[in-house]
Amino acid sequence: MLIVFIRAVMLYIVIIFCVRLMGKRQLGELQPSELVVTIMLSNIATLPIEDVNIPLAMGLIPILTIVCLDVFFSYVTMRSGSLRRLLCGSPKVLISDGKLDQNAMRRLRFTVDDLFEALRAQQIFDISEVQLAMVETTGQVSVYLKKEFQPLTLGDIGMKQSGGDPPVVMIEDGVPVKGALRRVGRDGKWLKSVLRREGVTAENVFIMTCDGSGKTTILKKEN
Amino acid sequence: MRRLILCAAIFLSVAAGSGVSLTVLKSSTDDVIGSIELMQSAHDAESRSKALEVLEEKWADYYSKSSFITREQTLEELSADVKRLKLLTGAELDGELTALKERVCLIYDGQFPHISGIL
Repeated sequence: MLIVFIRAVMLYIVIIFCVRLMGKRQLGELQPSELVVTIMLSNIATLPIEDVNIPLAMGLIPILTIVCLDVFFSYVTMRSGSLRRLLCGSPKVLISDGKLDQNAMRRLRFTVDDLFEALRAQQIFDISEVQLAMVETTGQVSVYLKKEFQPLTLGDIGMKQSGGDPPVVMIEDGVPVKGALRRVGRDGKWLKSVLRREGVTAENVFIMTCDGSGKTTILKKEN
Repeated sequence: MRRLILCAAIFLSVAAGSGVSLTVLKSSTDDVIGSIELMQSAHDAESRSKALEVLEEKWADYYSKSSFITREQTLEELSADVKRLKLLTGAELDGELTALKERVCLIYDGQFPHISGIL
């Protein structure tokens, strides 16, 4: 029992390390090669945990080898476009100027249900509103609407807004967030003065945010 | 780039570690086979008893080294066979020693990257 426990802890740490080593790409939409690596890792890791007869090294060695190969391949595909297309494929156009490419649908084995599901997920219910729809290499459908169906923006009506950066968390559960002041172009003095003005100390703040224009929002800790 | 260098270091370490483990296994296998042959060549009870002591010592060393790369069950079965040797005599002992030698060779062969083993 204890050996299984220790092995599970060790392999958990190794897998976390390996996923971090593969980078953020692995955590989002998976490319074909990344999907293969993820499936293989999960299978290999369970074998030495379940069967104590198998040496732990027989799990660790293939995991480390596969992860290293994945990083090498991602580096090589980053450098070579043709290899990237070979391993990951390339985006394909499904709808162009409101017209559906049925041949592309057949080639991709994409059903009408798949297409409409992807469009509905983006609040689009009519194909004729779509200027361009592409299937990405991850299988996700990206859509660009025709100009007349795109939502109105401030730019469309000639309004300009400055300081459009989204709010940044400055204090989290009483602790100032590292690097947050730099991101909004402020310093420690400014933070102290804001807290003094609001009549709170940093320790009493649950969340404090600040946007690009310097507007702050403070939520105090509840007792 | 740092990630690539780290991966290259891990990859080379794993490859080197695999090579070293094979060399260590080869040396331990040779030791065990040597002591089996020594026991096979011993004709009187005293020299056989001494050779068995050497074999048990070499086997303990082999067991601890090969347990990192060989299934525990296989090694435990062979350990039981080594323990049983002192109870055997004559043709029975000779047959058991030959079988033990063959199985130890097979463990090494299973780890050596032959084309047939890889495929």
